[in-house]
Parts: sequence; structure tokens; C-alpha cells
Amino acid sequence: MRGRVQGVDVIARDWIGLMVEVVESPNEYEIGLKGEVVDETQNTLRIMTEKGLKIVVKKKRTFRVWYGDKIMRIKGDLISYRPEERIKKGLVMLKRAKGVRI
Amino acid sequence: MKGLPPSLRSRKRYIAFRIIAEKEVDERSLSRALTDSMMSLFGECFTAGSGIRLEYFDGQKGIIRCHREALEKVVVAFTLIDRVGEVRVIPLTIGVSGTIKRCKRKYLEV
Amino acid sequence: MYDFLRFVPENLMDLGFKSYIFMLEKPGICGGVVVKAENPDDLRKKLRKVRKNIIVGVTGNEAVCREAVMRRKVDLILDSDNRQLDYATIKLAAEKDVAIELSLAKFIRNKGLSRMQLFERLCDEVRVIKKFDVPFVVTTAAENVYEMRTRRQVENFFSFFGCEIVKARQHATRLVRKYYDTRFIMDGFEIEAELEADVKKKG
Repeated sequence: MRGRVQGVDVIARDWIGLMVEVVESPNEYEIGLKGEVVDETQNTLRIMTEKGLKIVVKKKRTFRVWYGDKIMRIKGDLISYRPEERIKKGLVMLKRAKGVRI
Repeated sequence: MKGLPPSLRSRKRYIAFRIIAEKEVDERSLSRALTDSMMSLFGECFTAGSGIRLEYFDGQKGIIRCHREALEKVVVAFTLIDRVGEVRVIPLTIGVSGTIKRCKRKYLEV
Repeated sequence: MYDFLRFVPENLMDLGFKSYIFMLEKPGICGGVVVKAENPDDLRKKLRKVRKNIIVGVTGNEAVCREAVMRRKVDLILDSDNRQLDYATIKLAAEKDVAIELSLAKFIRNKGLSRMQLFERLCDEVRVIKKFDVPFVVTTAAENVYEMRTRRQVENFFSFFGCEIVKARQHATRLVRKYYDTRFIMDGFEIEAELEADVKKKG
């Protein structure tokens, strides 16, 4: 039975400062990129990896995110909004999804 | 299904026909004979896609409605009717049209 | 792939399904609840009594189905012999994320002319479902043991009428995970692991 889940608000906030790893991508060289998000635009994430600054497109990728005390797996299509817009849009998205309580 | 937009509705054809029989044939039994003929010939599955229906019948002449894709099948099934209920009949198709109005004007009047 | 049954069989056979969901009028341990309604008002009244966190299926006539699609609690529009959906209802189901059930049992139960009409209705529904990418599930919806079939039979039957089986599988899994998997949050968003142990160690 589902109850209140902590940390689902990760899709309703900006990702700057979070640890991110690319899990799935049409570009196989991107898979495995891991690091801290430095900057974010509507369509891309700038990730500071060990090999330097990498820009990864959000759409059609799946990301693994360390947020709070959880590791989450999120499709990039869900977060492809501008970071400041996403606070509002993400909350609406969570509200509309059935069976989710925030 | 109700409320389909015009682009999704199936295209229809109207078949004008004439029936020659010794006794009078009523609308309901003719419609029954038509679906029975269709079912025995093509089965439930194909009859489902034919949209077959007796649109109007005045005792001698009438109109059958069907979907455009199933037109040939319906004509074949109609040709194979030999009796309606107990009455022996000769079914004759006169022509096919795209609207009821045209069908009536072209084949059934005069 | 999950199957939705309307009864609890005494001994479950292995028919290739991953699991079964029992849609009963009185909710059991694992499964969903069926709400039967005569009219929209009746439906609203009955839905109020249904508790949360359970798969809710609705059966009824055209008006009931139309109302059910708009209700937040409803997850599934169940199939029955005299179910009729109109174009607007199916279109709305896609928007509101309500799944439509296509069942095999009603084709086994009926014969002749009535079955022909059911085929006609099925073809129409499938066409609209494809157009709007509506969530749908293909099931046996068996009411007794003799209406149960294997997974492959069900899938072959519906793919013959043009259903995209892969999508049906996805929708069924999603519907079940929504309620019985705590790690699933929404499409493309799930929790992989919790780090509580690590945090405690550090603390």
C-alpha cells in the first residue's frame, strides 16, 4: 500500500548541486557519466565529471540521482523544463499522477 | 460507436435491389435472411466489419446499406438468398450508390 | 503481463501470466474492487465508500462509463457484455489516465449475432484507442474456470484485431505497480534504493 513518499519533490526543484549519473542514453559514450550538476538549462544538464565539464541533453536519457537518503531513477523527459519553471510544473505533475501523495 | 468525427466514420454504399416473390415478403424476415446468408457465408468475424443493414423496403424494392470495403461480399451474400422465411424469392440488384438520396432517385423512382 | 479475474479460483493453474489480480465486489487481500452502478449518481455515491490504495474498476452503461472516466479514484473501465463506450469517453480516458479493459470472456459467452456485434464494437474501440494512445489492458476477465485461457491465447486473439500487445503489457504492469510497488512513483520515475543504512553509519 502506498503512503506518503519522501523525496518525490526532486522533480519539482532545480538540480544544481546534486549527484547525477547517466544510465540510459542513445549515445553510448554518455552512459556512465557521473558527477555534480553545475548548471542547468531547459534542455541540458552541465555535469562536472572527473574528465571535466560535460553537457548532457535531458530528453531521451535516463538519470540516476542521489537526493536526500534515496537513489532515484528519472527519465529526462520529465524534467525537461527550465529549472525555475519546474518548481510549479513538477508539483502539478505529481498532483496529477494517480496514486502519488506529496 | 457514438460521436465519431466524420473522418473516422466508415464510408458507406447503398445497394438498390428488387425482389420478385409469389407472396408478400416483410421487412424483418428479409433483413433476417440477409444476415443469416452473410453469417453462413463469411462467418461472424467478417459480418462484423460489413455494417450491413436493411435501410428501407416497400415490399418489392429496397435499399441495403453496407460499408464500402464489404460491398462485394454483401452483394455475393444477397445473390445467394433463395428463400425468405417460407417464401421462395428471386433477389435482383439494380445498382450501387454513395447516398440514399441518389440511390432512390437513380434506381427506385420512375 | 497480469490477468484480471472476477473470481477466486480454488487452485490456480500456471497459464503464463506473471500474476493475477482479483477484481471482486468485496475487496480481498490482493486485488481490486468492482463498482457496479446503475447511473452516474449511484456511481458517485458508491465511489465515496471505496477506500484509497486499491485498484478500482467500474462497470455500467454508457453514462456511467463517461462519468467514471472523469473520477480520480477510478483506474479501470471494466468490460462487460453490454458495455458501450463513445468516442469522447475513450478520448478522455487517455487524458485522465484511465485504462480500458478488453476482455476475452464476453466473446466466449456470446454466440452468433450478438457476438458479431461485439466484434464490431471491439474493432471500433481498438481503432480509437490506437489513435489517442489510450491505456488499455487485455485480459480474460473470467467469471469461472472455463473462461480462463493462457496468456499467449489472449494476446494472439487481440493482436488479430489490431491491438498493440506490447503496449497492453506495459499499461498492465504500470497499473499494478502504481498500487503494489512502493518504489514506483510515476512513469519514468522510480526509487532505486534507499541509503538510510549509509546515513546512519555516517551519523
